[in-house]
Amino acid sequence: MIRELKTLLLLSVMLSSFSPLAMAEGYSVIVHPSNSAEFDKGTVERIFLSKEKTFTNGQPAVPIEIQQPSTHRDYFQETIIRKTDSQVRSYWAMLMFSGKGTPPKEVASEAEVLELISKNPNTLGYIPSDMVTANVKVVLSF
Amino acid sequence: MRFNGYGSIVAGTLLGEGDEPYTADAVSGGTYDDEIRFEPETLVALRAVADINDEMTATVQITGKGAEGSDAFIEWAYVSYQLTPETVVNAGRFRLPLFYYSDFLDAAYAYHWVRPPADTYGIPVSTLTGVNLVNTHYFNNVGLTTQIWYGAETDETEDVVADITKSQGINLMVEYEWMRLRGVYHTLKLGIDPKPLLVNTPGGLIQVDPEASNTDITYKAAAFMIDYESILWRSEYTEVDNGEKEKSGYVSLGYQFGTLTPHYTYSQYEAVEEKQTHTIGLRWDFKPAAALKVEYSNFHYETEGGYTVVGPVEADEYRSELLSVALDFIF
Repeated sequence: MIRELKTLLLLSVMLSSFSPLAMAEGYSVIVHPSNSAEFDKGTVERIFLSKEKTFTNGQPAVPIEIQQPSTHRDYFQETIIRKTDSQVRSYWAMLMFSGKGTPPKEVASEAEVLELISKNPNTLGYIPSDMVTANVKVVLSF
Repeated sequence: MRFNGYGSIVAGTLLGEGDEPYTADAVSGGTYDDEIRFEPETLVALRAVADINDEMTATVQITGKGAEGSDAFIEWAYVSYQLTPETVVNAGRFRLPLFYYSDFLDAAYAYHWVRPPADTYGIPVSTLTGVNLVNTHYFNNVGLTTQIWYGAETDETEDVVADITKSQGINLMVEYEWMRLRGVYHTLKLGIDPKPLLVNTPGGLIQVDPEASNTDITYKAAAFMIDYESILWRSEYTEVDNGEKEKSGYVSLGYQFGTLTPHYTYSQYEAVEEKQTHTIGLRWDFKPAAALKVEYSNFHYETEGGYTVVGPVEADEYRSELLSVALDFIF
């Protein structure tokens, strides 16, 4: 009995140290299922700041943002972009008003992000992980 | 058609009775004296972008400045052609991308000061009509932005027509993680009409040889910028060569505590005149897309005498202090 308990305990410790992909963190960066490019935090950050304009597979990259105010976007900016809201706005003011770039297309809801990305192989966005469907591919969780 | 824009409501005053007037905006001539003034730097700009087709857009940016009275002027009017996802060619009128802040100098929301150091940015010409090309490429996590331009511009200041031709330049910016390094090389020919013996020009004070109609001016500049977590560091060094050498530079340090960014800047200018400026200020991001700024500058000016467009200057030395409050916004 004791031995079984020990085994069970050991098993549960081992299991808890694994974190299967399906139980990932709160948000997922998603792309079209056909997108074969490679992604890491840095790539996603640079695509959203319009620094990198193509995916690693050479296809044009079109990031989709969520309109402010949004707690989801705040969290994305904090963890992936690593800038405060005023820093992000200042960054885009610098690019826009010097004629060097435009901020990502903004949509009103996560449902729209999902919809757009399931239809367009060039798009990239993020949504809460529990909203992910089979119509999109998860490339990063945060 | 997409519209957006920016603006600044700025109030400023010199603190000493009878302080020498201070020109804060060399393009509009916006100048502060010992009364509280709003006109010198208050402005609103509206930008409109229209898609022509998948690869081409047309952009117009119109600015209204208090110092220009009721005249609005077109700062930008150009057509962009997206050659590749990483390369764009613009043709038309655009702001000269001379120093780090030059091509978005009026969009004050984008930086921490009320105005970038005038010892470097006090250039009376800001636009150029011609072509420019911008390419951005990332090598893993190192970014390289290359911009080249060519054009000409005619500018009327103080009863003098400055004719700028063969204005060409290149700037390179390398970005890695939290730092940016930028270098620029720019040359132009300047013709002055009528030809006074000495003129105050975009390239500084110039002795005009009545026989020669053109002066060659060269700009060299470097910038090093850091945004590391909450620390902000800005520094630039510039050299203008028009036969005489003019040097200027500054260092600026700031720290972001949530919505508050206090900062300190030292800047310097050396030519016929010598100037040193100490600036302390605070930026408060009190609402999304709007910032409130307070800034105090202490100027020291010294010259052993020389000539300007209005005639000879006596040897002189003075200090003055400027206090400014700004509300900067984007929309």
